[in-house]
Amino acid sequence: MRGTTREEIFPLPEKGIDTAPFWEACNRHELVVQQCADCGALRHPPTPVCPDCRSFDVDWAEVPGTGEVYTYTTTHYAASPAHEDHTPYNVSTVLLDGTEDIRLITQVVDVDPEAVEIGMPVEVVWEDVNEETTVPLFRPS
Amino acid sequence: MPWNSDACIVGLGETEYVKQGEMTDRSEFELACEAIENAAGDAGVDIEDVDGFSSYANDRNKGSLVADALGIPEVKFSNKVWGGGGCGGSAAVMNAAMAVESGAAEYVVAYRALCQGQFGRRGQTQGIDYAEGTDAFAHSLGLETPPQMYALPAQRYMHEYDVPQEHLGHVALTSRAHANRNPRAVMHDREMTMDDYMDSPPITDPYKLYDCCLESDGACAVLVTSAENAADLPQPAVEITSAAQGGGPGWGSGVLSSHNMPLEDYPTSNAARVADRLFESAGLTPDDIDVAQLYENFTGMVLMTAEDYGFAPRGEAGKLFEDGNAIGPDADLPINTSGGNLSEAYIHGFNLVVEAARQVRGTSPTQVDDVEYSLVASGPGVTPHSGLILSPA
Repeated sequence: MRGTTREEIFPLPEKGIDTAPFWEACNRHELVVQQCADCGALRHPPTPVCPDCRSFDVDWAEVPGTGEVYTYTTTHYAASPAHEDHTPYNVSTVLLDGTEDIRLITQVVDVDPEAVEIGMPVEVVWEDVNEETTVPLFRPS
Repeated sequence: MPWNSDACIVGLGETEYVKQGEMTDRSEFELACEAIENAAGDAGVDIEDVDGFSSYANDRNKGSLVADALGIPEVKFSNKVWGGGGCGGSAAVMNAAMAVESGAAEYVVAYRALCQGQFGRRGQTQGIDYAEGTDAFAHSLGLETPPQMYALPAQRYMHEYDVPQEHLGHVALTSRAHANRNPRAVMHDREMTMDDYMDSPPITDPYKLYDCCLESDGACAVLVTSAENAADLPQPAVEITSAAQGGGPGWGSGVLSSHNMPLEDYPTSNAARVADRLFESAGLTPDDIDVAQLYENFTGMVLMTAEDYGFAPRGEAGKLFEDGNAIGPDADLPINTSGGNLSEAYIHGFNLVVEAARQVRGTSPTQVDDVEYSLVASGPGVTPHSGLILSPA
């Protein structure tokens, strides 16, 4: 079946014990990454242990929600019937401001996908998928 | 520590390879059994003497069930490598060799059967409603399929080193030229020119249709035993001269979901550390390699793998392939000599292991003269990447 809403095209995030705080912050329209409560190192995607100091104590740090396109692809093919009306679309990794090297996989929207390029400055735009789920997408800033 | 096994590949088994969906009379499970039986038969080993089963990620055909189906009297080793897709193909052979060397088992088969027509195509999503754990940070945000996942590092690689699209195309042309010398290849008798490549439909930039591996149905297997046993068997023994598996920090789910590998490592195949150990362990350098099979799920990764293995400086692997430089038995370094994942068949790259062994035996459809060292690099971009150097026993 062809999809028209995001919910019909892409799978929703399952909120697990390690990852729920990220998605719950999204619901509040706050972009957060994990931060070690002991050494302060930032990390993403979420894991239960700090790879720098092995601490299991976790905080979450809000980041500005801006960054630049680190790499991207424009997808032209439909990976399922649900995707058929969604192509072409952008998938990027965005190097987040406020971090040394953390990249968030996301989509750059509100622009012709063919116009997206490496180094493009972008800012978060929230898409409320349904009552329980919001995802962070980005647009040129 | 050097690799100190002298275990050998003594049997090669394959089914026919066909386009996904065309295998309608036999199940994927049956093909696994058939390939294993063919490997034992080729080796001149009684199937009842096979006592070990070694595979790698994404295998539906459990060693325990395959053993039962084949009437194996006693299983002494059953093992699967962690990690995504075809990255552990060489590692499965390495584990088989370690089982033999330790005495845990005597005849260990490493294998892969893959019928995408029966279980869903790798390039398609499977209609799941929810993505779990780390996968949610990819799939729920638009990054769902292998061509997309592997497009991202390729785009960055091309940006950092100013690599033209044609360099990817030459990888595809190389595999196709070799498939046209291999009657068993799915794409045999299908000539491809650079114009054909450039005109092929865009899939997910920078990848066009011909940058992407095939989606196939088929199975293959290799039988591993000790050098002592190998000496008494009819086929020329293929020594596993060096074997390595692993990867660098942050590459656990790597290209398949995290995309947070260290920035300096990002436009690579996560293969450099494995390559270094592989060569060092055997006391060899890239110049010693006579023929190479470099896993091509997507062309861009082949360029990065070739650089990780030291066959070319960063950003320059395209030169290995341009102007037909890697095509034919007389090439400086013939690469993907059976047609590989792009043009022979996509059996999660295990057919590359079979081809690397054929080159040592002298039975490749693009046979290189006097092969001393035949290299295979399994899948890129996650941990464990794995590789083998094979040579005449």
